[in-house]
Amino acid sequence: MTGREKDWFSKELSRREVLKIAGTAALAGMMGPLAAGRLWAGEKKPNILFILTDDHRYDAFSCMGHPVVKTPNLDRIAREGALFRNTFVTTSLCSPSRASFLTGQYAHTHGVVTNHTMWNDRNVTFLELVKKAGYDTAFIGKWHMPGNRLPQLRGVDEFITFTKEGGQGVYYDCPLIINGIETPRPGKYITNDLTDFALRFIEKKRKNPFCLYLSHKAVHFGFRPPEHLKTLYEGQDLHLPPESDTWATLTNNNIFVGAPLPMHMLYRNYLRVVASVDEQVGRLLGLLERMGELDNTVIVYAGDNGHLFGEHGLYDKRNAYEESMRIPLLIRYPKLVGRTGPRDQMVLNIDLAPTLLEIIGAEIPSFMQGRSMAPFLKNPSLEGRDAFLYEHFPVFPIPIPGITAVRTKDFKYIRYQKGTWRDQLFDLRNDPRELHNIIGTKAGKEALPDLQKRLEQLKEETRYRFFTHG
Amino acid sequence: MEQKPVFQRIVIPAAAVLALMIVSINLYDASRWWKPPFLQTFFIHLSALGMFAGIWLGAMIGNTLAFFRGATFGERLLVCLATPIVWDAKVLSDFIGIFSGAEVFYVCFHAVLMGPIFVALLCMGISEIWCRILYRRRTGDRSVKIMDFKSGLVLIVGFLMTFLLLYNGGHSFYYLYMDLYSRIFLHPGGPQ
Repeated sequence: MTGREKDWFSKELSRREVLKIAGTAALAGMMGPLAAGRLWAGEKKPNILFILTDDHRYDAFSCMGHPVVKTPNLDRIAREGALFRNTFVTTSLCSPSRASFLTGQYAHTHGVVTNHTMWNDRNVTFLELVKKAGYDTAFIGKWHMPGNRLPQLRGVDEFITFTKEGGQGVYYDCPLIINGIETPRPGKYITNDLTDFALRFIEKKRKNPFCLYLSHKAVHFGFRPPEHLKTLYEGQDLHLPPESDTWATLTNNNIFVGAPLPMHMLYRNYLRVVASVDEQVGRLLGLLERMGELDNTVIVYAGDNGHLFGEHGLYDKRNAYEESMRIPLLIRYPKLVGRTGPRDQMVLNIDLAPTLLEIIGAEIPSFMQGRSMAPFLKNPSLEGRDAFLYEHFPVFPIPIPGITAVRTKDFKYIRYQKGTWRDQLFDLRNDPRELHNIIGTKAGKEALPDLQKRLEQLKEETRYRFFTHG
Repeated sequence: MEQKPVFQRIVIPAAAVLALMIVSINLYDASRWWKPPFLQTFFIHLSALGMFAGIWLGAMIGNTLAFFRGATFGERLLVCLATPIVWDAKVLSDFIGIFSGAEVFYVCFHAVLMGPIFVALLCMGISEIWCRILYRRRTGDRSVKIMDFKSGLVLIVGFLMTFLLLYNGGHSFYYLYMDLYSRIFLHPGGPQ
């Protein structure tokens, strides 16, 4: 015990101080029943269904005004819940982002900084904490974090995943590791196959609420739609950005990200795979509805990062451009969503874990770096964060340098690894597509010092460190 | 066959392919923002064709030009490899500053960098055949074989390596390459 504490306990209290303490204690006692942990006393806690897709762009939904793709089931979640229109990942890459969803931490904290760096089994996932709160849990789908073995996921009752092609999986006939046993899946289309397992898990008779983490391979590269959707959107204008062209996947080093096919062919198949995911989401909603559990289930749909389809002459993700770092986020839970519809606060992938914990009344551990989004579910007009830190670490063999960036509501400042690319500054109010780097202009010079300061603050707050290897 | 001066038999064939590549790359990058759209589309396709011809098929052009200007086999090989080497150097330079020197060296063994070299050998081998057939027809000189040891060797090496790099859509080689990368750079003591 410190000397200061000793002083406090040993000192004599005045009558005023005694009254003050007693009053605070009484108030705390009255507030007790409203505290998160007691919200569900005597009432069944909600189920959790978290659906995570791969590379699903924030705007590839009909509810986001996409001119081609139709996503009626995902639109339903948005319509009956909250559509977070400004959701971002802190690192736009599969493995780091997935670890961030699970841990509520930045990549430089959980350690999965690229697709090659190992998952640390000491990391605590929200699944572990949810399990402690009395849930039946399952992880079904893409794990895709490096290591020559699957992780020891504490608190996960069922673990169904795949390791083929470095954990990326394949769309057809993808063997699954079902609770540790490798099982061939001939004739199966992976999105449907994983959904079948998810449906079986949900249908199980149980006393406890469930928490299902359903993580698809779709809509990652390969972009192979199921048979019945192979001709969907055929001949339709895809409305790709004007600077996108047929050959953009093969030029300007884009070939290093593994897409030696024409852009239009890839994007059309991408949209078909999005449509196939939507179909499977419809099956999940249908089952929950039939079971009478739909309104007692927190349904979250998100993507692990965005994807560029020719914007800035680029293909793939990783960069700090909007198309890359922005993701979809839909949350349906009528018991908490005050007013359905869009939310415009800036929220992050690291916010998911604390949000789910708050919703079920569990304690949010201090090591989580995200903030709960639950207040925004209740009240769409609440003020959100003013800025956030984006980070990217070099991933061999992709010639994209390390990045730190700060995004505010109005600006984005991107700082590249020293000695590589020129830093960038975009005025998002007047240039939402980030086409004009204003770093050397008068307006840029005026805005830059504050942004540089904010970037340094955020790095300090999150205890940022740079990783050179990956 | 009459042997023309070095400039004509080596520099011009190599420079022709190199120029095609450089002009096409710059035209492609510039035309992305051109308007109206049909103009953009036309030049994008034209420049893409130029890039493909220059980087991947350039050896056929260069070798044919050099062959009929009397270049020796070694000189023709140099002509065929000039453009892929320049392109590889340009690509490799994009890695400098991002990765360590050893990693940048390892990039040289990536399929994207080895590909143009071996495709150039394959193309050279193919063009050797038609050049020799054409030469025999034109001159009636039967002492020149349609395929000799050296031209056969570049054809076989080029074909085998191209096949190896592209097998299974390039996935097999890529995962082998990355597995080796992990062993060398990430977990030198073996898998963790």
